[in-house]
Amino acid sequence: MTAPERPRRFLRRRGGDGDAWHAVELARHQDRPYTLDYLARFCDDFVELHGDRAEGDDPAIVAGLGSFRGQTVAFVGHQKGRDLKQRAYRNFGMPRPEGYRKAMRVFELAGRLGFPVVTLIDTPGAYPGVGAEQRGQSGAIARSQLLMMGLNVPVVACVIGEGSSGGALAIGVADRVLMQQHTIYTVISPEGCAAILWKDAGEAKRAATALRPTAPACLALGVIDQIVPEPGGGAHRDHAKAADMLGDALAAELEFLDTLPPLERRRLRRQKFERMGAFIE
Amino acid sequence: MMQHDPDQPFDAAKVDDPYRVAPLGPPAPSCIDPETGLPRRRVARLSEIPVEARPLILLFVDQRLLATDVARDTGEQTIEPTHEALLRQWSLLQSWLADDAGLLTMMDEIKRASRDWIANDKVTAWLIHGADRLEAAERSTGLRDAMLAGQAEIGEMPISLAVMDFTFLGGSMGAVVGEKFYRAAELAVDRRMPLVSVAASGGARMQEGVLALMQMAKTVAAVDEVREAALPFVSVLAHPTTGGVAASFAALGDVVIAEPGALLSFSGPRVVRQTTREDVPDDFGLAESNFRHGHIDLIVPRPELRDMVARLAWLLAGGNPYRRPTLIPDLGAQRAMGRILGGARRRITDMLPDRDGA
Repeated sequence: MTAPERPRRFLRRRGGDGDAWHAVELARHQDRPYTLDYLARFCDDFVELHGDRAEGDDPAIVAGLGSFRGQTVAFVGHQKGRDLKQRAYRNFGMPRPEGYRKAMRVFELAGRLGFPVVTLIDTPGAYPGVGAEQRGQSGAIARSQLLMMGLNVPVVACVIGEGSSGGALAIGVADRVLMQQHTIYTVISPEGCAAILWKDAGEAKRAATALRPTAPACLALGVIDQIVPEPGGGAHRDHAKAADMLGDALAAELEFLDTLPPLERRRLRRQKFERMGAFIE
Repeated sequence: MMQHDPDQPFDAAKVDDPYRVAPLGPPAPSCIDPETGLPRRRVARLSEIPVEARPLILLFVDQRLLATDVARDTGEQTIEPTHEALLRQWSLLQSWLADDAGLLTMMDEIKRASRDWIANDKVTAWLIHGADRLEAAERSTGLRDAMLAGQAEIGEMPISLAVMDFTFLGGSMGAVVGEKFYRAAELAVDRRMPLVSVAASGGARMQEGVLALMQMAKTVAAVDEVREAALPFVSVLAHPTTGGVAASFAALGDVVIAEPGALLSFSGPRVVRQTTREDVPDDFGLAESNFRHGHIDLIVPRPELRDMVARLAWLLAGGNPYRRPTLIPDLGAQRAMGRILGGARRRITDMLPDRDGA
């Protein structure tokens, strides 16, 4: 494999244009459309499925079957709440293991019945709670990725807000990974990064700059395949238009993926993730 | 020092020698923003101000140019400029700041660096600045990255082995670790051998950004290759196995073995306590707790690990008669295993027990 210089330079660059924190703030904007806002707008019909068939139903992840531009699609997405009560109910979009197991149940269903899978990513991360760990947070995140890796149906993922850490990636293993223009995708939230590296969550801005989580940065790294445009000023300014733009992008990707033979598609998906990361030998 | 009548408006001209505070060092309630190079407000402790300058400072306080407060944690009296504009418009202060800009920035960086160093348990690698921290880790561990991988033999069964080392940047998983694990999986598939991994990691290498996150998916893809080839994968979790490694390949073994007392969790106890304010049980995230909650198959102490992995490798290979490795306590092999899991400094082939050894 070749040894590109780019990632090292990227790691060393400091300061920059200060856009990183702005991007974080936009991605977290409280008026941004969430998963259910999009589904309500671009699905003709949507039935939400509940429960992981083992120990509970996690409101931080919604999953179900929707009628999308003439075909049934299995949708899975993180869901945040808008007001205080909703936010607490949705646990700020931080899933527990039962959420990932619910997602996996729907992925498996889609694979068995041949529906394409679309996931919408918008989470500050998996929920860091005692119970969540006891019920197997790590294993759930890992198995969800493995299940997605092996699906024989087309899979498209799109970051529609915050894509932080394994909690995002758990439903982010897809043939085509998209990011909306004003969203972020990162290994950890800037606060988390600052808290762990410098034991000071107040250094979040410094961490955001270093993490470079913006869509163009992720595209340049090959982590995502395409940037989905948003209405002027951001998706929060015009939900209807944002949903149209996202819907069009998803439909185009599904149409393209449908032309590939299933096994080839699966092989390419795996190859794409196997090629992530640059190193020098 | 001049007399001051609080009823009279402040007149800089009446201060007998406004420059007398300048040689006392950088003006305490201001600093240089390292990102923009512009002056920025800061909260200074009154004790930072030289005694001779305090009457002047108090005069500024009277005139509402500076505001006083009491620090919540230490109870010390603090001062800060009342308005950011003061720093921009006050030409005298500006000129002092300009003179001392280099010094102030350096002071700030030294303070930050020392805080980072203390926050990271005073690990030597954090003392190295300007140079590459990665190079520092290479020098201090003698390793090229946090994983060693290659073909090995255990209980006379050839295996593909990938072993992590926590001493290398906390065993964090970046592009190199991801690639090494991937190649270990590839090797297993090419030579039809079981894959065995020994994890010891703080998680994804945050310094490598989102590409470090993608190493989770990359290693999962590698496991998928092994599964597709119908080959077994045994995952050993050493202390600690957390974050992105716990939530990717390490969790996906056909058999998952943990060492006693190993911390195995996605979020560490400190993060859980800080974010949720939940009470964290004493055995939070420990192997024993994970075992009770059904996340791991076995807890095996290190001296018995080699034997157990060998037995599993045979059993999972299916139908091959299991020949028990020597039961004579093999201290050399145990030491070798300890070296693999602890601070490995030798090539992997040197560390594995000899076939005819013991």
